[in-house]
Amino acid sequence: MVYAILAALAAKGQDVWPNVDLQVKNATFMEVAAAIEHQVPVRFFFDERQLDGLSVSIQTADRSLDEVLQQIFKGTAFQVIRMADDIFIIEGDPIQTELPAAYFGEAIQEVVGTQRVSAMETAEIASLPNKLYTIGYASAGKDTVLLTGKVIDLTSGAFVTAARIGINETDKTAMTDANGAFRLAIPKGYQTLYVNAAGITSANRQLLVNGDGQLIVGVNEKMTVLSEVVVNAEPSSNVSSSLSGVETLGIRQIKQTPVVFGEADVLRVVLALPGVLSVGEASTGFNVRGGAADQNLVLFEGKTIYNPTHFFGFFSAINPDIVENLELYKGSIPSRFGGRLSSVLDIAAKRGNRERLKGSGGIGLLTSRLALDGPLGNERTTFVAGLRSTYSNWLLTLLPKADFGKSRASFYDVDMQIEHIRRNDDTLHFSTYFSDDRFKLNSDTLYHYNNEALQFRWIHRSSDRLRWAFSGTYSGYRFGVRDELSSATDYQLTYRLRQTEVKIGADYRLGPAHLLQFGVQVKHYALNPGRMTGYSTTSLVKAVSLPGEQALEHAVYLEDHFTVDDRFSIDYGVRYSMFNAMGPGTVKKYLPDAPMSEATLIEAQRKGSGAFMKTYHGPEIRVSARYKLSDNTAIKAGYHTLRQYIHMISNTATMAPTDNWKLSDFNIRPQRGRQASLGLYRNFYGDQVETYIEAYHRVIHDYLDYKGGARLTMNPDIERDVLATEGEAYGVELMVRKKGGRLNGWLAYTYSRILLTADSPFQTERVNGGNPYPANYDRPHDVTLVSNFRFTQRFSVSFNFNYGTGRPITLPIARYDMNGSGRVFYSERNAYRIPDYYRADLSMNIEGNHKLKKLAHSSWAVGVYNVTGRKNAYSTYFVSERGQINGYQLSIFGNPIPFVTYNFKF
Amino acid sequence: MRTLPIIISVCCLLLCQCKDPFSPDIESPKQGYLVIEGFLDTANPTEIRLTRTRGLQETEIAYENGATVTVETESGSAFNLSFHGDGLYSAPPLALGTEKARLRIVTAGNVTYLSDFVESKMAPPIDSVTWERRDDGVHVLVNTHDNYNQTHYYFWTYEETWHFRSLYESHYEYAGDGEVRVRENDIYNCWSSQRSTGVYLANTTGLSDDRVIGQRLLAIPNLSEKLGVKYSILVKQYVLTAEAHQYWEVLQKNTEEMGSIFDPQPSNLESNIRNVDDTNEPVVGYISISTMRQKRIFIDNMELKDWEIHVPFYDDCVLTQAGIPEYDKYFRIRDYIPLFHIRDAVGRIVAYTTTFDHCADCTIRGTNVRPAFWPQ
Repeated sequence: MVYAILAALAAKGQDVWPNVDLQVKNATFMEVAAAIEHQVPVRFFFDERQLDGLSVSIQTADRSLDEVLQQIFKGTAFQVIRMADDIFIIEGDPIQTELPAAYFGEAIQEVVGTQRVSAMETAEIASLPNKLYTIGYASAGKDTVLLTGKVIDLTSGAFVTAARIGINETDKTAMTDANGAFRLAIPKGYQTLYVNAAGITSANRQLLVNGDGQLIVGVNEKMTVLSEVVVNAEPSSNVSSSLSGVETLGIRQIKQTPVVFGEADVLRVVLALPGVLSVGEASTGFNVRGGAADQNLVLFEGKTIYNPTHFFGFFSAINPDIVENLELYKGSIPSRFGGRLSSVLDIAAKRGNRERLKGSGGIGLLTSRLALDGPLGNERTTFVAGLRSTYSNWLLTLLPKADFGKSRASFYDVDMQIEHIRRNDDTLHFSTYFSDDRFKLNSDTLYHYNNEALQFRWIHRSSDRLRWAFSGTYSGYRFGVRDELSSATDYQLTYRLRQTEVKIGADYRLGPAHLLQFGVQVKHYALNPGRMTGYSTTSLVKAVSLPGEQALEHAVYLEDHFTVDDRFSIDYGVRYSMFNAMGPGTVKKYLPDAPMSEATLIEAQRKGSGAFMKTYHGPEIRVSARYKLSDNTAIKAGYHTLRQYIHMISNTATMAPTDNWKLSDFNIRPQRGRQASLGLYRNFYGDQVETYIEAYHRVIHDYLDYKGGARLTMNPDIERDVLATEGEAYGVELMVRKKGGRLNGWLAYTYSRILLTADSPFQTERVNGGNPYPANYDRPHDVTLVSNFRFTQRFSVSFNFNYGTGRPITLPIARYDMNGSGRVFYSERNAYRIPDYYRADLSMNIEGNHKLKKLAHSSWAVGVYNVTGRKNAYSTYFVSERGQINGYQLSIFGNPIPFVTYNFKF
Repeated sequence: MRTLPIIISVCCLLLCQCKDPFSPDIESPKQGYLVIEGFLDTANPTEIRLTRTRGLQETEIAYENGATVTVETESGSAFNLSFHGDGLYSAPPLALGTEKARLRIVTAGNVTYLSDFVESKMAPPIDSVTWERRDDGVHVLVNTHDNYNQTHYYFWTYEETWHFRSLYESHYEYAGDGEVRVRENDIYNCWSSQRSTGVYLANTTGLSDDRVIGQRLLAIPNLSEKLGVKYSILVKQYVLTAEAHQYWEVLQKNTEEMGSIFDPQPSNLESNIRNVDDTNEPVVGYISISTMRQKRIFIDNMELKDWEIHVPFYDDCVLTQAGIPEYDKYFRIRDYIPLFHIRDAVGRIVAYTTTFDHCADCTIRGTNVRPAFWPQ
């Protein structure tokens, strides 16, 4: 029966064995294999050591490869198994006689101690789903043994990192490290081991576990599988993880979600997740569970990116070709993360291939991108590099001069990583990131901003239980605005933020039930909050520099991932963070019972360089727990408190490049928040369909909003224009996701509210009479459908749908005449809403053929963004035009937008 | 190159942004909020206009008539403003000296509004009002400065007046009963005027001198009729406190500058006038005390090279002839205006060249009374 399955598998990919010519004498099988591979498109997989003693002599012409191989291995213990174009040479007794015996649990002792076991010790590659692999020698005593090993990609020979490996009968899982290595505690007996990772075919291996042992699991790259069965891209952590409100997406999912202009976009996909909203289309700033756009920590391979967007916010500034996966923590935030109130978006870059140079890229209507990765000198050192750029400047020159004559837009981003693995115990990783944007919106004003980041990381495994990670990271963000029309008031304005961080963290395995994580983090901020000078020589603008700001933010944390039993697990930890606003600077003291203004300033005390001007500190509690009601159902609960010491000063509803970040100081307190969440998670159809419903409640203290007419740029006394508001957010998220199968995707519904309150005895510090009002980004209802249907292995169609409540706005409610013109009187803050948002997108992905010897694999993405052409209002405004008041709504995309992108991979 | 049209359409869509009319369903406050406009002036007559806000679709101005309006100084002196109809209240130049003063309004409905005490500021004179020909037309600029570095916040209004002509000159007029006589009044030369409709502000605190150079007030577009003969602009300059400047800046932003993607949201205006019984009641307007300074300039068409004008109002103007039997039909029933006579071979007037009234009668769009300040 088993043989029949193997035969069926073998037959599936091909109809006939190709014919080969072979003239060898006393050759090793390595030479024979190379000769055959040279003639026909097959690849051999075998353990060189096992075949070391085999000497091959054969003289043949135009004979079936099947017959040739049978002749070579006749009378040996080796078997030939063919899967598509891959041919495996495996040592062992004929499967059809041995497996059934083991299958019925007979004669275990017979199996142990035979030639098979020794094969295991020499690290046979476990590459077959139905073969039984025996682990270790039978021993009495403990029921749980330790399995160590590696996962390798049979196609490339590369180690598979970040693969999840586990036993179906329990929820114990392990992740492979950068070397593809894993350690997993498993029960004795017959077990089914599964391996899942982005980009590989999920696989099961049958094990008979007798004692501690080793296993090398060989897996196939996904594209080589011609079977139409697409298996789960990831294991279902939906129920098993003890974290709640954490979303993980592989690059595959990201790439098949249609987005505007056909560019795979990391942040756009995040926006489709429940609990994540955005205020408009020209914005990749996002709002998580009622949080502001500045309350998200965006990490790209561990480096903070302050403005992760390009081109007015239409694109995210992360090249999708160098992304492996992303994790969004919106509920449970592990103790190792801190400094932001709402979420952590942790984007992991992919690892370089160890075998050969690989590349991928794309050519789209507005941008092109290229990514390369491969070994650097030897297989222990690899690199990944990516570049993306636009040619929109060239396009703009083709547009009518009158309308767009002065418009300019250009951007690029570059990323590079080098990783060196030393003796499997030490991993050195160096990475850099740089992005740059310049644009002019048909005026003489040039906007310019860039992100820069670099990191050095050293991961050291000092024992099987203890792993250390040391890192030094620099992140910078700056922007400039320049009025280039030569006049008395032309100017240029610059802003710069620099952040340097040193971190030490450790993972310590304390028995099978506890994993401790602890560490120390120290961060230094240096800000040049604004410098304004005249641009041309005719300018009368006085050069002004706001005084620089600097501060230290440090934290220690300790967290325990405690698996109490099969049903109950809890992650609990504490992070203690401290913030020191440092001199040089001026401590401005105001009358305690009056609004801060020039009149109420009582003392301005100058502090020297390095002096602590104000210190804030406090504990942050991080607890989340899971209780399994059954194998496929779990309840999760979490309670988290967080602190944020850096704030974005912005009066626009969305993130704009000129929004500047401000550190807490003597007068601006840190934002503090706490969140409680409770969710029910359930999987259906054998983990094929994951669902959850989760409710949360958040309280935010000292969120910054603005007084009417606040001046937010070049304001040395910004504390006089801001309001510390109290926020309350609550909501429910529903998710139904199907990860595998021909039809995959998710349907998400989010109900969320965020209400702010600015109450004060002073009228200027009250908003809406001190009553709660919705924040700019409060959008109660949101429904998102992301779907992909795979018609064939090479052709799939994706469809997206999004509906959401319009965001709040302040509308004119009356008119009056003043200065000879009709004018409008505005409602209370955020009393109205823009029309509801609705959009549907369609795209087709057409893959080229999958011949392994082809120079490059290519694919086309063709589609339409906003199929129905709905004019979604982005913002509204009222103007008095020749004495009349007219209201307008702006929409960024008012028509269906077709796109086509060519992607390639080699 | 087949993709090029797609590329361009994508870019257009991206950068044009679609702009559509927006008329949401809004309930306006029923009786409206008090609106106060005007400056307290120590050198010129003070004029304060009181109105109320009205629904967005209502066109009639809602005047606040019959109120008692008083200016009170810190030391207790009071000056009453007299009511002149249509919400207008005025007083002769206020003898405030350097004292702070406030405005008290008791409406006909016996609701009392009181402003904060505000400081009295002297405006420096306007140095000059200049103009420049640029690609898009003629820009009118104002220049001023304060040697004492104390003014910083400037506010302007202006009033334009221009001499214009009808397309054709009429020498005759219809007297009725088939009689055409020689025209005595001039309906060929007229004057029109227009007040400023914007908020014009300057702030010199960011400059090393308290000096305003070439602050643009308006641009007269190319082909404008305003510069067809002779043009005049009277610029009035006021000074503000920092708070008042902030108020006007917000007002200006809320109603004049709300267009681009990154513009901020409107903010509430905090007036310095409040209902004494309900300080939460919104009031519109900001009271400042400032002496007004003014300057007038003229721009003659001769000073501009090749200023062409195009008046869309005249686009349909054609000449035609009206014979003797048709006088009543053309000049009475159809509002045509006789321009020149046409004689037959023996010298009798048998017809008039004629055109529509709006092509020959400039009083339809202005006054033919020469303003007193207009040079002869």
